[in-house]
Amino acid sequence: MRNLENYLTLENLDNAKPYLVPHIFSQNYFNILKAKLREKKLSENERYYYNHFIKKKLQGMIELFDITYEINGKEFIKKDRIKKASSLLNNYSRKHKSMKMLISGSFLYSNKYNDIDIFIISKYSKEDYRDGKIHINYLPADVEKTLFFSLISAISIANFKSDKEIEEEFKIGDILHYYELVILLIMQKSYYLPELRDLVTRAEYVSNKVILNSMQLKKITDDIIKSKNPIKIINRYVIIKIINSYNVSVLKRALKQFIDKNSTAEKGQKIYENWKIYNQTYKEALEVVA
Amino acid sequence: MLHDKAKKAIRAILGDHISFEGHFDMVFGSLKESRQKQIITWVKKCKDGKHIALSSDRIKDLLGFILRFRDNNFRAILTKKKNEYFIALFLDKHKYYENERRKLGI
Repeated sequence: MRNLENYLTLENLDNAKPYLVPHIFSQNYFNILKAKLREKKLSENERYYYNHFIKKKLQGMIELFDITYEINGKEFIKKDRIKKASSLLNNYSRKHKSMKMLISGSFLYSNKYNDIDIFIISKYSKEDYRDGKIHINYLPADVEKTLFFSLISAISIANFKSDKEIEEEFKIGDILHYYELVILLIMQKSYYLPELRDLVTRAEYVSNKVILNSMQLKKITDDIIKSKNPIKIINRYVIIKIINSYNVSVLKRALKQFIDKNSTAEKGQKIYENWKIYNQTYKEALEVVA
Repeated sequence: MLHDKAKKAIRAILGDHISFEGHFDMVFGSLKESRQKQIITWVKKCKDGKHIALSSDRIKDLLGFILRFRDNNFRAILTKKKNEYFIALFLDKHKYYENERRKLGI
């Protein structure tokens, strides 16, 4: 059984009010449904009305109109995967009743995929687990307000509709920390794709408010990783992204602070090679903004 | 290897004042032996100045060495006060490591 309340948004509910009240819901029922969507605590009476009357009417509507799952980025999704994803959502919805759930990742758009990512939004902290090729990832209740959620939901099939705005803010220091981390991982020959994804997602968002979908993100990160000199490309990329993203004085102050922290070696040691690269990038960025 | 034995080996490399943070015992115990050895070798190399570090913009003179594995989502951060002593070895899952990194300013 799908949960229609997961498909409703406050905006839709308000728009539909003239058609709903009093024909389908009384004003009281309408208010209760609205309170529920706002995640307000319902009184005992309201809970009774919600569970015994309102929810049942919603369920009837699902069956009556044969409402399918919420599909985002349908143009990117392979046709055969929609059916398979819907079937997976049906199966896992039985296991995780009334929980918001979405399928995202390369399974939806790529011929080859390693695993199938199912994301479940939970109020409680739970351990992710694997079920064969299926990877169940639990996300916190407030995840819908994050850039990460916007990224994974841009190409997704879900049992709910989300209309939450991103409430995260990324300071220049956050972007530079991700940049420094990626370069360090490359230099020490570590696996760095997840960190590169973090950097690119945020850099795109702060520069032009672009919310990438997972396919676009894969294209950018693949291009960087497969290039002959990823460090050089990332250096240029970061300069281009940050110079347009922040107020000049904020940018200058942060870059100078980062140059300063990366300028003094330990006694008897040389400055780390990665610090030289960071400072070169920051100096170039300063020249551009100057 | 048991986590107590690993802690003893790490203390022998970095000194007794080193603290162990995150879910160190649980995570270390769940790692393959090759990964456990990798951590100890990495610690030794950090001590010998053979690894590069990040510097904090939040805590003065704090250095952070990072170790990540390809086949699991565990991460380690070894912190050091510049020109002085190693402070802590943090070992945990990715999400806790992200919070720790932000807290440390690296």
